[in-house]
Amino acid sequence: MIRLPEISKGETVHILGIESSCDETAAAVVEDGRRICSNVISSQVKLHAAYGGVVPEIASRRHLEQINLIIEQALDEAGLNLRALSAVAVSSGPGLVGALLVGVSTAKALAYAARLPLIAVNHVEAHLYANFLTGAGIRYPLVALIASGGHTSLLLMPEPDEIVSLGQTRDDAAGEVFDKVARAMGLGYPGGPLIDRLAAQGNPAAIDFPRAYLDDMEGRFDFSFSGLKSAVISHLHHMRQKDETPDPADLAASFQEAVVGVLVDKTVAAAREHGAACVLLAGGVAANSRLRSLMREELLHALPGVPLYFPPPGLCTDNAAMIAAVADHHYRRGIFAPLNLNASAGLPPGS
Amino acid sequence: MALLDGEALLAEFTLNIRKTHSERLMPLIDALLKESAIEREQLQAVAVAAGPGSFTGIRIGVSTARALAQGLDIPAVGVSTLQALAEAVPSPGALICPLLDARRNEVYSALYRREAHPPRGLEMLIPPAAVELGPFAERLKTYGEPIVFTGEGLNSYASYLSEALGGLAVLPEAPQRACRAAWVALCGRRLLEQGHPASFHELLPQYLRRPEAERRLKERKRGAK
Ligand SMILES: [Zn+2]
Repeated sequence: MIRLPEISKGETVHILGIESSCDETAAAVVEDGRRICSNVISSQVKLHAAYGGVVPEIASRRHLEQINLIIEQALDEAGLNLRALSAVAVSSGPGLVGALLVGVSTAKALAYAARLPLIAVNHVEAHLYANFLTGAGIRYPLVALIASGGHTSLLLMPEPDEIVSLGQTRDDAAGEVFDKVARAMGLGYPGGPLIDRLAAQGNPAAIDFPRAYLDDMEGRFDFSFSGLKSAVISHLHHMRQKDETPDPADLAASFQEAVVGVLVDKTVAAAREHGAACVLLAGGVAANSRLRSLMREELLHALPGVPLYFPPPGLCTDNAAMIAAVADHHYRRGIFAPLNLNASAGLPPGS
Repeated sequence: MALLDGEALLAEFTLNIRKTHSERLMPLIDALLKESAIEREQLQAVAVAAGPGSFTGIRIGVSTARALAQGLDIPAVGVSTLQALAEAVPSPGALICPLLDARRNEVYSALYRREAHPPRGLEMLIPPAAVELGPFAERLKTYGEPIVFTGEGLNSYASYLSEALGGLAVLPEAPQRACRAAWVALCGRRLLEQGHPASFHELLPQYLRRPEAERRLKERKRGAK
């Protein structure tokens, strides 16, 4: 039923990527999986700031209002019309199901109308592929940490096009705890950059917050941040009861160190165990300066010579260039999605 | 979904099974066109029931319509689900009340009158809104005339209405309650003929209700004052 396009050896592949899994509506055109022809993002951050987090219904409504316009801009900037494309790709999960459905419905109808093949992309895997857009010297096997407001995943790529999930968060995503702690501290939203900036002036050893390592063999690469979140909130509460004001910089630094410490330790342990030739960071939390510096330090110490790559800030957060980049691999292997494609809130990477 | 060619209804599918629209919609559109031997490039406009209804359901329909229009470079128009329901009732002079379940003890409804004389268009007496059925039924009663109800809200509220309105409530059976795509197509064509905006950019859902979180935030702000 799925039509396989003829791919000739020298064909230039242009894929339109569509992304709507959380609070960014995005479309991009990528050539041959590497060159970004256009990358348009409409962020809803301001829309959700009043709520201290993403409100799914509000996000879905906004996606619908924006998505066709964003697609039009992405095509215009790439100087291509729909019919000149090789395929339409969309992130079909994981994410907020109502938000994903806007992208999926749009991509299906657009691909159908323009008689283009449709490609379904795993959003978390796509984050990993953002690193392929920067021309970094990627070698295999590689270990990747994908951390954002929606997901925290440790992935292994033993070879090109093969992704194995090593671990996931069991509760809150890393970026989500940043948001919730920032909210409890009255800092604002989104919490990641605010805490990062504040923490730079604080003492990371001021307060000893708990770190969940989940030491059972099965879950040793899983994450859990809800205990840490509760500890920070109850610390704030106790201080207020005693009429003491916590030093916000020390609190931010100590909290951040606890999150980043676990992320780094597990990533380095996974890289060692799997003999990684390089380590990748991606997702919004990959923009955290302490995560980058500590990861580099610990890698240098534990696995000297193993390089660390992370995308520029614009490609860390949700974008559609990464969707089109990963779709290029699907395209070349002839993996296409049927018209009954659905969105999936909990699509695990590597599935 | 339905395919309208001039005055003729070429094909229509109605599926009322609780399977996700997301999986069904595009394959059905494809099947409808194939069965009708129409190429997608031959479509001249697309109309969609833009609400009210389930937020997610509306969005799947509207997203699909917008992207089809964008991809095929044709006009697209949104039709009120309530009006499409009322259009199906031809009786001259009749009061027509479409009813959809809006949950949280409310219904989406409106009141129309079918004009007694040609061209026998629909006059809107009460605009579409999410309302509590009890007070709304009281309001309908004041018209003192028979009211033809329609819409799938009747699946839950038919007996309530016959009790509240007595003999004034005209309650059709299941086959006449569903919102049929042929009426959506027809209403859409009329809107386009009347010069309604035809660009998919202007095609937006008719939710009739704010997101729950927005409502609560407003209440909190009001409470804080
Ligand atoms: Zn993401």
